[in-house]
Amino acid sequence: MQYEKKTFEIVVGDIIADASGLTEALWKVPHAIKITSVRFGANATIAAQDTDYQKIAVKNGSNEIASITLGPAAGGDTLTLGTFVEKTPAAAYAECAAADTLTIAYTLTGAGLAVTGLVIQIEYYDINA
Amino acid sequence: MREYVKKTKVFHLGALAASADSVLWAIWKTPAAIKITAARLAANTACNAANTNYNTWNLKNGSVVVASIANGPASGGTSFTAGAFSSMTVVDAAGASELAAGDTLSFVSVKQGNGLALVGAVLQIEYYDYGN
Repeated sequence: MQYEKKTFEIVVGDIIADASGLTEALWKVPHAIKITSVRFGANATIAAQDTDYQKIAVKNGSNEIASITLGPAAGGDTLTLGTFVEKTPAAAYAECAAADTLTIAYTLTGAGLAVTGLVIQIEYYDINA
Repeated sequence: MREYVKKTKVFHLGALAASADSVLWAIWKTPAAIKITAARLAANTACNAANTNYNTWNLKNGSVVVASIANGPASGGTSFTAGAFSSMTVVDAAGASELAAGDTLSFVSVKQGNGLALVGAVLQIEYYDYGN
């Protein structure tokens, strides 16, 4: 059966360097879905760096679906103008039940790293509309 | 002729800085082939079109301009009214307004002179999709 891919996106905006501990509600899903991709973008290039950086995760409850970590310089994620960093969701948590609330959670390393104009896009299809 | 259902995407972009020049902001990777039929930009504070210092905002697919709007010059530019959408000019051509699945649509700001900020910007894209 062919499913229709859909997207949900939100402009989260500017994230302060120390957003650790913040949990923001992202989306309460209207029915069961399966997430096929999670994308992160920004309106300024943020290069992965050592010592001070931030992890940005999309979660369902305590389960992490996908995340980017803007450090360390070697191996960390870099947000580049005009493109999305695309992450494959964790297979165990890609499916969400109706009325689940997805959130964004931030984890600090060192002094953190600010992000300008954060955009998160979730690509999914409905399981039982 | 097949009837398509119009859909919309809304992006709350917030403040668009006057100084933003050649800023390329990825906002949407299309899940299916689509055709954009309208694009609109609104602000929560009025902004009169001005000469010398203003911004042009484009929706781009790669280097291709899909739609554009500018708050200048005074003659020909768009004056924004608080709480109202202003229509962007959509390039109605297959290579522009029609996007393939997986294309990334970006919002691009280019300043003229010192630029002219827009506050509380909201972008709406109206489209229909051709399916996966």
